[in-house]
Amino acid sequence: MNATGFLDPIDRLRLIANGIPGAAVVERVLDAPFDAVWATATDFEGALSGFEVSVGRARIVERDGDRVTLESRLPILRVRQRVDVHLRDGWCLMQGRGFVAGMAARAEGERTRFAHLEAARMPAAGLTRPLMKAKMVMTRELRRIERLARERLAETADRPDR
Amino acid sequence: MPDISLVRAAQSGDALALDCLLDELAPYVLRICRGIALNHADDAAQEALVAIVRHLRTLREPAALHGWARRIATREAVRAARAAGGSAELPEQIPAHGDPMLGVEVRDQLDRMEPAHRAIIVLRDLEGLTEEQVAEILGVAQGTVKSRLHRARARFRQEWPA
Repeated sequence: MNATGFLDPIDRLRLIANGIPGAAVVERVLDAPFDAVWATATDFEGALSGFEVSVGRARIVERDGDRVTLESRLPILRVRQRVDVHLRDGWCLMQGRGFVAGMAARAEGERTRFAHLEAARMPAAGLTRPLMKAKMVMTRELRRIERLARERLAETADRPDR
Repeated sequence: MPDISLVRAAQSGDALALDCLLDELAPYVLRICRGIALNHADDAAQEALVAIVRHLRTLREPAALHGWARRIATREAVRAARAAGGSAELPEQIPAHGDPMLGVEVRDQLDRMEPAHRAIIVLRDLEGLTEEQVAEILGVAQGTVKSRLHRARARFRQEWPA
């Protein structure tokens, strides 16, 4: 996921959190294989809106290597926002005008260690601040990713051509 | 020379800019740590990166990023090397400029030197720090650096294959 080889995605997310005041990080081992978890977590136009409320319903407007640009509509105010994303295998860092969200994952056998970072931004002031969302909510998001990943896995296994 | 606007953006809480800076800094920091902390380099580099990310906002002159990061990396590497004593073995890679074969020979040569001499040659001759900077990092007087460097170089030349 990175050019260095010695920092795995989880370590890198913890590291990045040190540079974002108020960033909250939750970590959990999900009971689903890495491929299913990662496909679910980075399904920007599908599953993402089901667990990441900071982004909301999104569509990909540009993809260039590991850079992705999303346009999303926030569910509460129905306003559009641009979200810039750095996306690599096991690494996803998203930034909109008002938030930063990070996801990092690595396989642990048939399970997946998954870390999730969130922080609110006030770009005009050049500051980030603690997100109102509690870690409890973020943990709930991880459970949702786990559930969706397991459903995705079951759907794949049920397909007649497999 | 770092991308000044990237450094400023990272200092102001832009997580994607920080991510880009890490792509550049992580291998740089690891290279410095490998030359000094040897097989404890990964831990030293991670500690150094945490300090760099955490204190990035305090860096007044973005153009000085690499020098500042180098001081932090060498400090952490020396700390790790000291904690490990002289038993550390050299890894496969070591800082080397120019001819790769020179790197192998330098590595072999450094392998036979005591840690105090090895550290001072890496800091002064391979990383190009000033005697004042080396003194600050090693926590010794500048005169001590001068005399220790003299002995280390003499020892190095004495054993360097003609």
